[in-house]
Amino acid sequence: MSTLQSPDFELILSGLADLFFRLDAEGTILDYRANEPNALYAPPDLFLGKRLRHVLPPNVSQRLEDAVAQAVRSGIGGTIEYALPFPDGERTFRARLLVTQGLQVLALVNDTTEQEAAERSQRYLAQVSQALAASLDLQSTLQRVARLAVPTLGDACLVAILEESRSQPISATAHCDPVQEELLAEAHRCFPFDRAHYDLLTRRLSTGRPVFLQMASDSGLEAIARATAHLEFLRESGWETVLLASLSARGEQHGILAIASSSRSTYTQHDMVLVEEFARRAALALDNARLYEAERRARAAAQAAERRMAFLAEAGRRLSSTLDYGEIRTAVARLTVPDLADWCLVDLPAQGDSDQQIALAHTDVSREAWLRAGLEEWWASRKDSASCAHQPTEPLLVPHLAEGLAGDAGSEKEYLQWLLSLGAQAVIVVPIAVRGILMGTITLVAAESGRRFSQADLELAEELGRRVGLALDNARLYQRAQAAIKVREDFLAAAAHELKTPVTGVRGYAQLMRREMEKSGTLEPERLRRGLQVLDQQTAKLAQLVTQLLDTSRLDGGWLVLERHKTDVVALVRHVVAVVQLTAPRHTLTMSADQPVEAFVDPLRLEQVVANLLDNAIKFSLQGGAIEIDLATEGHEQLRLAVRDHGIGIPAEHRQRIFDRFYRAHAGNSFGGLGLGLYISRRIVELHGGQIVVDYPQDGGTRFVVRMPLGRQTSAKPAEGVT
Amino acid sequence: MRSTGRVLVVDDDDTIRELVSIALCDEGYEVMSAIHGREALERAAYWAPDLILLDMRMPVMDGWEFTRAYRRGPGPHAPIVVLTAGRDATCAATQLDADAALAKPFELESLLELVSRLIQTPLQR
Repeated sequence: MSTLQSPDFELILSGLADLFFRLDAEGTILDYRANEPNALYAPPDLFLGKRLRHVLPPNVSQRLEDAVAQAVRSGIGGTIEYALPFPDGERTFRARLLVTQGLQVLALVNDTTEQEAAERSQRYLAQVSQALAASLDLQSTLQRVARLAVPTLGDACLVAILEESRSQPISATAHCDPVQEELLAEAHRCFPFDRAHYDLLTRRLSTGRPVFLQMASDSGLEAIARATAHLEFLRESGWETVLLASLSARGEQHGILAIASSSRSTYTQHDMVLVEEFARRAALALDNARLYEAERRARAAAQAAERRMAFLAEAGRRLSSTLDYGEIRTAVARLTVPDLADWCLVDLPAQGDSDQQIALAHTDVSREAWLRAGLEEWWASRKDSASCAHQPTEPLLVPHLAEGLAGDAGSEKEYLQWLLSLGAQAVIVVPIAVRGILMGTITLVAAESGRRFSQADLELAEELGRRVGLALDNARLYQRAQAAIKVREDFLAAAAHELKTPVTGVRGYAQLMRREMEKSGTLEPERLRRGLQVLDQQTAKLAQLVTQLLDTSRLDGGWLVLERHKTDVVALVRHVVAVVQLTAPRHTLTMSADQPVEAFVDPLRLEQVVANLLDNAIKFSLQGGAIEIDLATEGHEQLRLAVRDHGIGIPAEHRQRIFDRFYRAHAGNSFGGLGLGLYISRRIVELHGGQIVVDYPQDGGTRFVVRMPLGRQTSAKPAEGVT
Repeated sequence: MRSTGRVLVVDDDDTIRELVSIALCDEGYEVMSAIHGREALERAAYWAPDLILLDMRMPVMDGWEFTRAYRRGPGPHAPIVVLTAGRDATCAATQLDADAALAKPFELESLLELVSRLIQTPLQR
């Protein structure tokens, strides 16, 4: 006894163990020393002089007494570990037994409870880290975190994270009891853990430290219940406590961890530290998973973007290689199948074609005839079959056609219903527009392959629509340029012909007369007269042609200026008629003018108009006949001049363009002329503020009518040019 | 030396028709003229010319149409000389399988030489 009480010894012993006991061979407690009195299982007066079996629980005392007896017998000590129930839970101890010379046993006892718990925690956390290191995607990492939390940290676990790119959190649950886990998962499905609840729990974690909630009261449950039925479920679960921890990585909170327990009413400091450490590791794993997914998504997006660029590049290449509407339609349809869609319909009506205006393509080429037949049948069933199959104003994406049609799908409904009836599952319709004008549509259909259409697909289709629009615009401009070039070439050919004909006459007569002079040394007067007449006429014709060309050039450049004078129009027209009659022996020109008509006009230009109209009338009534000229005033404001022939008329298809520059309605029939007369006449009449129209009498021929203001009041007006 | 032979002059331009007719008459040819292809077909049918001088661009029936119709009809067929102010006199002649071509404006001498040569050695068609 005294040995244990000596001050020197005390100093040594205090560092060796929490408790010291001296026992005899039978396990009777002879003496003790407690450095940690709290570690004593019973008060000293209850155990001093008692055998262990009378103090400790039987299973523990039995083992200890055996060990003591064994140590005394062998003379060699040993170590034994045991656990004892204390009011605040079980505690573990490790006893080292030393045999003294008096065949007594000295037991050095250490309380190992804390140490063991720490070791268990370390092992657990190591397991957690290992398990989480193996998972990569976010959802499975979440599930794994939840599962690792039970039963070590509690009975049930909810893990939720909120990603920046999403509006709702994603979450997972686990329960230590498989049956309960099913129920929990079911409740989780029925009452999704949404943003509102996420925010509610997040607010409780404002300090960043774990928070411990008592669930014994209903108010605690109500706070986390997501619905009345959910509250019922929570009550039945019998949870007493919920421990909330924040999931934070790189200084930011990304999620929460909730651990519910029905058996534990308190958490020790150690438990809290463990939960915190678990949360940290879970957060790290989730952050990695998140980054991995983000990287994977970015890579997928980059690849998709690359594919789209390649597609659009190919589209651009194919579209630029053709300027034909039909070819563009077919190229677009072929381009989209099968990369973008299972079927494609390109509705792009070109001017003048009606039946084959829709190009289509099907992944299975042998099904195209079936699709075409369906299209024609549907089309025939519609009344306004001449118009577009459908008139979309906005790009349209219907990801699930069957469901999309249940609601109001607007003006597209009929078209979409038809596609649905053929087996379409999802549809994209985008416009083809040129300078804001709707030219047609592209319809992409997902059917047999079960592919899905995303927003990105819609955007790609829209871009395709835009590019087709651009290609069409280019085609249109190109065609216009080609048409303009053709008109100019035709004009040059006609001009050459028109100029060469009088030159032929002039040169021919000159040569004819010279030839006669050389042969006979003299020239018959009649032949000389005729020769000079031809020279005169033909050079006049040449001069007229040159004037026409110059006038056209002036009109185009805006340099043609009127010189208005007060003019007796009746006399002017009569004079022109008389002159033209001389050159047209086969025709009879009759003029009627029942009153004097005075107007303020450019007389030379008006003469030109009358002469042009008469020339036309003569030219297009080859067999001769009557040409009637009628001049009258209409009211006090304008004059009306009508020139009527009984010739071949103007074919309906040319009537719209006869006043255009270089336009010759009878070009193919080799009538002469530059196609400038009517153009110049129209412009001169318009410069006078009048207009020229043409009508086609029932009994044939053509009637040109010029209406022109008399212009009496405008005497002060200066010369006018083309604006 | 007076030349002999019948020449049909087909042109819608009065002056050229007259000019060519006078020049050929002066040489001793018999000349008949027509103002377009249809008239030429009618006249060729009963008058049987030895040579046809043909303008291409004419109203009612142009030179191309006339040639096709003329050659489809019963023979014998006179040689055809294309007279045109178009840029493609030779080209038109080739397309028509005409016997010669002369671009307007032409030299009177060239025309007379050509007519003389074709009438002295008529081609068997």
